[in-house]
Amino acid sequence: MNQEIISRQELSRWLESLLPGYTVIAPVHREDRDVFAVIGSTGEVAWDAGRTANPAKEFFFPASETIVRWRTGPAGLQVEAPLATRPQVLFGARPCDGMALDVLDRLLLADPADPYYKARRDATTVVGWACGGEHPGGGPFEGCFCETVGGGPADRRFLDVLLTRHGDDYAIDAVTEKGRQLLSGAKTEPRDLPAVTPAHAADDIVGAVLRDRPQPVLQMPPPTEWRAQFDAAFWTELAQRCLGCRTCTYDCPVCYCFDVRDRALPDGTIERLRCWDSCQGMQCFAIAGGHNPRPTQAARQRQRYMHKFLYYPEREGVALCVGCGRCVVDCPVNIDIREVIAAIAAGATAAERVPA
Amino acid sequence: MNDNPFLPALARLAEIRDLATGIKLFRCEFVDKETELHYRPGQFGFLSAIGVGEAPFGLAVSEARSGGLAEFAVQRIGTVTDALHEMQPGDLVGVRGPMGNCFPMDQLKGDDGSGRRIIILGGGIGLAPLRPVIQEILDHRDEYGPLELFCAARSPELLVFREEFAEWSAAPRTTMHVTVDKGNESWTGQVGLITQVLAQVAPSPENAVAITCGPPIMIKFVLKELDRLGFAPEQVIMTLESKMKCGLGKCGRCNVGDQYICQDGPVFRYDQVREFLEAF
Repeated sequence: MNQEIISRQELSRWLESLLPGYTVIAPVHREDRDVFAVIGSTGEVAWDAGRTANPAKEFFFPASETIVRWRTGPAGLQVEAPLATRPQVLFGARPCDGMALDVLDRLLLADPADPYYKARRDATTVVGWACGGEHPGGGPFEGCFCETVGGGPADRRFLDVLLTRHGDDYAIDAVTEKGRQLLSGAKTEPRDLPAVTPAHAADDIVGAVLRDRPQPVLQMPPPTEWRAQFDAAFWTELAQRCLGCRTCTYDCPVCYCFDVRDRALPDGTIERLRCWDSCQGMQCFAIAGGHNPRPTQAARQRQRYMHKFLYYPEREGVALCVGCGRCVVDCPVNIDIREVIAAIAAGATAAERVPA
Repeated sequence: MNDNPFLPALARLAEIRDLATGIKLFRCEFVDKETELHYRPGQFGFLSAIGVGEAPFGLAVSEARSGGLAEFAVQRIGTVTDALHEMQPGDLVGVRGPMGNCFPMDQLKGDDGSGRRIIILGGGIGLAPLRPVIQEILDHRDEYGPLELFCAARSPELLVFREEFAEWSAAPRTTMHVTVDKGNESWTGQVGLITQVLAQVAPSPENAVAITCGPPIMIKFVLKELDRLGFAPEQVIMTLESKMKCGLGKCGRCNVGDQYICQDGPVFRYDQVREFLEAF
């Protein structure tokens, strides 16, 4: 069966050709980590990158961005809302990074759409590569569990282009029209690959490796199970370990809660900024006057998981989690979201402490 | 008001009125004369002290009585409200809205024209979002059943809209109870918690609906007392507040269970949120 193939060299050349017209975001090595960053040349691309330490969220929903600007001009106070419209390419996204965009789209693009997110989303083409298979960066990674939340290591649904490493080359799956158009300048060649079908090369190439994945897939408990554990002592036990450091929420590709603040610049311009916020911060839910509807870390831990696995699924149809495992490896006290899921599935009670 | 729901409309403070100690009423006139604000009782808006921040407030007047101005009652309690309280008539503010759902005015009328009795319980500045309901009922008095108003505050100087109490209590088929937790030398009215007055008056739950807004601690005990009087959760309506940053269901701050106060609320029947009301 014929499969479009591109060599590493041609892929790099094609990416280089995009640089004048696009902001290109790709995995790069930074110190001892791989991170998504805006690149200036393809020489920076970490072709063997593993899971990036940061999710791609910041390129669609920055940690801090100006949403309103007021300036005093001759005609009085002028107000504007700056929207980012420069085309960008997210290169080297994993299937779960793509799925994270779908998860966020459901909320942020729903009427009334968030104009700042929408502008960046519309301007972006996502070129991903499959986990596992022959990709040097490998995957699956420590702590990841995408199958539990409906994803997969070769899931093409939420990418515009899916690349799958095949020998020294990449099999190309142009998933969307947007992806096809971006690829128009790429020098690809058809090659006869008997083992694969064109649309699903990734499944065949990656699949062989993943079939040997050791642990059984963690099952997601249904909403009723989460609801039943709303008052469980389990949350207090979890909170006794939690430092409230917020790392889990900032590292999460789909945690989206934000705060809004105004600031005055020296020239008299006033900016309204929105910034990532975290349900794990003590003051996140406190209102003026001091009332705090979630005054304990237990209530805030519960809010985090209930939001991800009960409230968001009920409202948006999917979990607020793509199983990337970043929170699992980054938590300083080893709170493991998979253990929370397993505990709920097992019917957590005061007597059944989550294994540390 | 414009395409970007985060972009406030500029408005000029046409009038600032002292309502009570630390509570002022702000009437905001849109700078762009084309801007119109259409809303129902119970909806809210965001008021910006530009350069300091914005916060949500219930629209405190019925649209019919608004004169086209956005009206908010603001208690001085934090940074945004501090800045608002320092402002003078003519100063510019930002207004976003209307947002949220509204009180079910048709249901308050009673499905069969049977004149459902309406009990309204407001504590402190919690009376502000209830004022449009009261005004709407008084302006269409024949369409609604008997009205029983309970207005409370911690002290006489914290009672809002006192100058309107005469109009309210003089309306046909309307009873009014005003109480303060703690009186002062000039206070000749009732002293006691709103729940005590509610227990004394003991309105019958039969063909009745109760609406409440106030500080969380008051709501908690009013809910208990209404339950004791035999009101089913389906007969109790409340308007909630919480930390909110967008009013659009995006900022993830105001959920009660899977309900967003900003979109599914702020008006809820007690049975809709009972399961998930966390700490009051």
